[in-house]
Amino acid sequence: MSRPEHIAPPEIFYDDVESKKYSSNSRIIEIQTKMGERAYELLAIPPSCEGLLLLDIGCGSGISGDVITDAGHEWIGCDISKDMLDVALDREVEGDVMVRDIGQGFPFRAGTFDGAISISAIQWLCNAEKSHHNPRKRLMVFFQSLFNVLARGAKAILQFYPENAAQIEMITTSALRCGFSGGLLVDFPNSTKAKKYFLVLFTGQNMLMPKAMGVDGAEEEEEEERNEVKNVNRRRDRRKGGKATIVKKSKDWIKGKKERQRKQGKEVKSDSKFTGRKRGPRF
Amino acid sequence: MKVLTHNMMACTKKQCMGKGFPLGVECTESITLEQEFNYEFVKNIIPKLDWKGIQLIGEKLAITIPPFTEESLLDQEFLKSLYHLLCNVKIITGSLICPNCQRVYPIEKGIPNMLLREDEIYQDVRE
Repeated sequence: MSRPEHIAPPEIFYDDVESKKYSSNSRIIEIQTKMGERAYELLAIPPSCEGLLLLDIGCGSGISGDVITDAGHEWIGCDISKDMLDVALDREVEGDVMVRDIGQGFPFRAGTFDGAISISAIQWLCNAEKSHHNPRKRLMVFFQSLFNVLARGAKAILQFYPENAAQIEMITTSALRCGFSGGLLVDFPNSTKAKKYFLVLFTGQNMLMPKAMGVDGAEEEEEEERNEVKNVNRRRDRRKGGKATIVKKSKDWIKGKKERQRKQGKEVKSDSKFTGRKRGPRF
Repeated sequence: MKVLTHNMMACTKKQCMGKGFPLGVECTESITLEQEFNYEFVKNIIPKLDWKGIQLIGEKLAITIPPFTEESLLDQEFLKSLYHLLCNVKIITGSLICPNCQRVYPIEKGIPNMLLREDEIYQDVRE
């Protein structure tokens, strides 16, 4: 996957041309809308609850904001790229937008928002774009300010693309140090493509973490067990000098492959009595 | 920028913490939108509003909102006019001024520019 963070600072990378390209690409729109919907779902606002005020961090052209509007809430968005916001105005989004570097905190009064979402934005904070930038400090300012502008008992769902484990660690510890409770939620952890990181943060205490998609608690444990067993077997086999392998294209092999793909969140036909069955002899 | 956003905003430079609102407004161009009245939203937003800010911007835009009292919550006309001011009046060009540090934030094409300069971020509090 390409990393725009490595090419240029956000306000320069998302210029006039790139913003228009980004906001007219149907694939990007689809992905962004899906992630926006998932983030909104994680906010767990009861369906009867309408007319709240939410914050969209790094709103860009307002694709994720549209999800909020559809759910019947008002939103205010921040983004550093002016060109992206111009596209948002062209798209006539219902929410209000402003130019602001999220690493400088949010220009709002305390306790303003009933929740916050962010789609693919906070990984930009991990990079130092200017000589006076310090990613750790900017993350702290960001999370402190976010904590302040959220009402008590509010949630923030931040989807991001971490580059490595160190970035996840840096972002999560900064958030927890600023008074948030919560943690990281990973959807489809077995897939490389569908895998998505969400930082789920609460301003209040004693809140339940939502469940990730593409995993089941029980299944996960079972799988771990299976792995262990497998390892034991492999070791024993190696000692014997042989290798216990499943024959390719066999029924077991096909079933195993389908199971693996299912875990990756891919679309897989359900098993039937015809799965992996031998075809009759040809005339 | 909607009046709602103005009401929620504050200057967050270090020396203005807790004092940077309501922001002063200079408005040279504004438009009126037509969003439908949303009772739930008004009900939710009322406890969060800064009435000083409402008065201030009301004077600037020549829209008067009667002072808020306990009975206002039941007054449909009051809620409607409040919603109209908050969500249907949009400032297109103008500027925002911090009451504490006098910093001016320009508004162009309806988008306020709240970016701070390098020297404003790490400024220490001077009292």
